[in-house]
Amino acid sequence: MNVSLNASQCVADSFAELPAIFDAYCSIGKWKEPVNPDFYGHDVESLLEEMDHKAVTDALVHHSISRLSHPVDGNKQLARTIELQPRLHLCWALLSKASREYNDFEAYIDEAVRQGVRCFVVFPRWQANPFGHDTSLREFVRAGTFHLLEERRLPVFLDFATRPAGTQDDTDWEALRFLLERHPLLPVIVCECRLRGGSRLLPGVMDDHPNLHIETSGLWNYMALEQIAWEWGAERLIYGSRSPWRSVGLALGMVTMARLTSKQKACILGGNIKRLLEAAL
Amino acid sequence: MTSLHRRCLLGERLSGEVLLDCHAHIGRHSDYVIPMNRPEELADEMRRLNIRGAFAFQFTGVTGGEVQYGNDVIAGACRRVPGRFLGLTMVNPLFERDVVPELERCHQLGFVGIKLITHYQGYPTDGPLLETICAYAHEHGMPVLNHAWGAPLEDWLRKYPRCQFITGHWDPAHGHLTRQYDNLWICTCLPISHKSFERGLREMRIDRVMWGSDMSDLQFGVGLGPILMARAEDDVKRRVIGLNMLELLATCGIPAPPAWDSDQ
Repeated sequence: MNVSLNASQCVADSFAELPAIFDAYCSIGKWKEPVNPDFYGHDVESLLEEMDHKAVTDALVHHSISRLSHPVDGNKQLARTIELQPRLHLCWALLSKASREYNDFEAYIDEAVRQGVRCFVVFPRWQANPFGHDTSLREFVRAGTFHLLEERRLPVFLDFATRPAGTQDDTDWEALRFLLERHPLLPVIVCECRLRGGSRLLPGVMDDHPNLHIETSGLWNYMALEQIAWEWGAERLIYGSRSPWRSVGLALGMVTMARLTSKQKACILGGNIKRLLEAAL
Repeated sequence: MTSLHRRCLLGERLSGEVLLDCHAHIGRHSDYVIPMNRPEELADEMRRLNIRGAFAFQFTGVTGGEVQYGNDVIAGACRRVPGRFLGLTMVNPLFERDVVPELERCHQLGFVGIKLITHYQGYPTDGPLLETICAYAHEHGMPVLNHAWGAPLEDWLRKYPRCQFITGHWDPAHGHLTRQYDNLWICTCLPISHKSFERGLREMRIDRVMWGSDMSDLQFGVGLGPILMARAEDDVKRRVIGLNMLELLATCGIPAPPAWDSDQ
């Protein structure tokens, strides 16, 4: 038995000119530990410098405070930090609607949209995840957190990662199915630090739920990116770097050098996320 | 932006360059799916990207004890795609009495070096059999790629100068030893975080750094991207992606994989 594909699925070519690149998943702020001894985490300046170096035009950004401290504080700090930076776009984190930490959850979403937010991220707890907001994805769903987002087609990034520097296979696939079954029109983008064992679970969920997308930075495995594009379409892939925990060179090289057509690669590198953001109401 | 950086962003085949891969696996893995993993398919992907050849070794012995089976998989791949895969024998020192006979058997089959992954197998990184293996490699002038070298590395570098020691993964912590010992090579797999390739490069001799893909565990672009798009001159990148390994092969008397027809 081999997982092989026919030749027509394996066509590749290169860009004639540098592609438009939109990084859909990166962060600013200090995390629990420095990224490296001499680099503590992105500020606006270092992120823009890296984007310039790699020819990345735009980025969706979330703040480490949203993840490690509190989403409301992190979102506020993010808005202040990237204000007047037209290339950086807000990605706000959310808690479960049932947590009683929002005076009016729907009003909070409205306010986000008014401030220019067109996508959100949630960090559910899974197993002993120390960085989740101690709420399972099932509870997020049960609480009705995603109803308004689905109604307005606002994309949601879903990140179960336990440690940004080095975990793998963090996704709770059964809870993800629960979300996708309840919200078939919600654009969901799953982020993995590194997808390995999940490669045996992903196909069934991709088959069943066309609203599931995969952020690419964790697709290190051989032909993993290509297989998704060949079997379910390149439109299901969203380029993200997970910078600074992942090298942008790593995340970009896997797409630009992939065994795909330049048209497929252009969709992944920016076309798909732009389409989702533009479709948000 | 250097030429290689731009070519990587464009997704171009690196025609005219020498690409040699010091770290590649062939086979199936217990933990995950590997699409298009037949030796011919892997070689076709190498041809597409202009990668001339690779040190290749098994997956089987990473998660189990049947290293002979895995070495036979590699021998088969070398036969099916001649000249592209340079086999490294994997042994498991926990099965002590099998080790030297397996090295001998595979040497007869044409394997050109040794792969160790005792970190996964549960054998100590300073275990006595590892020194026996290094002595064997010294006697035969072979490379030994170890997933993670332990504390005795410096002693062994000094004691076994004809053994070419390769770190299995990106290992700036051992980089300083390349300034003292010609027989230590640092594999690039994988500079994961922001600027970690550039940062690590400062610690080591440029002519002792070799690109390793970890194919068919990892996709080629994952490991090539951080090198080709690094803040470094193209001459440095050229050494890393192939010219240094060419030197290693010459040092060990291993015939270098030829250029692909389409690149001659």
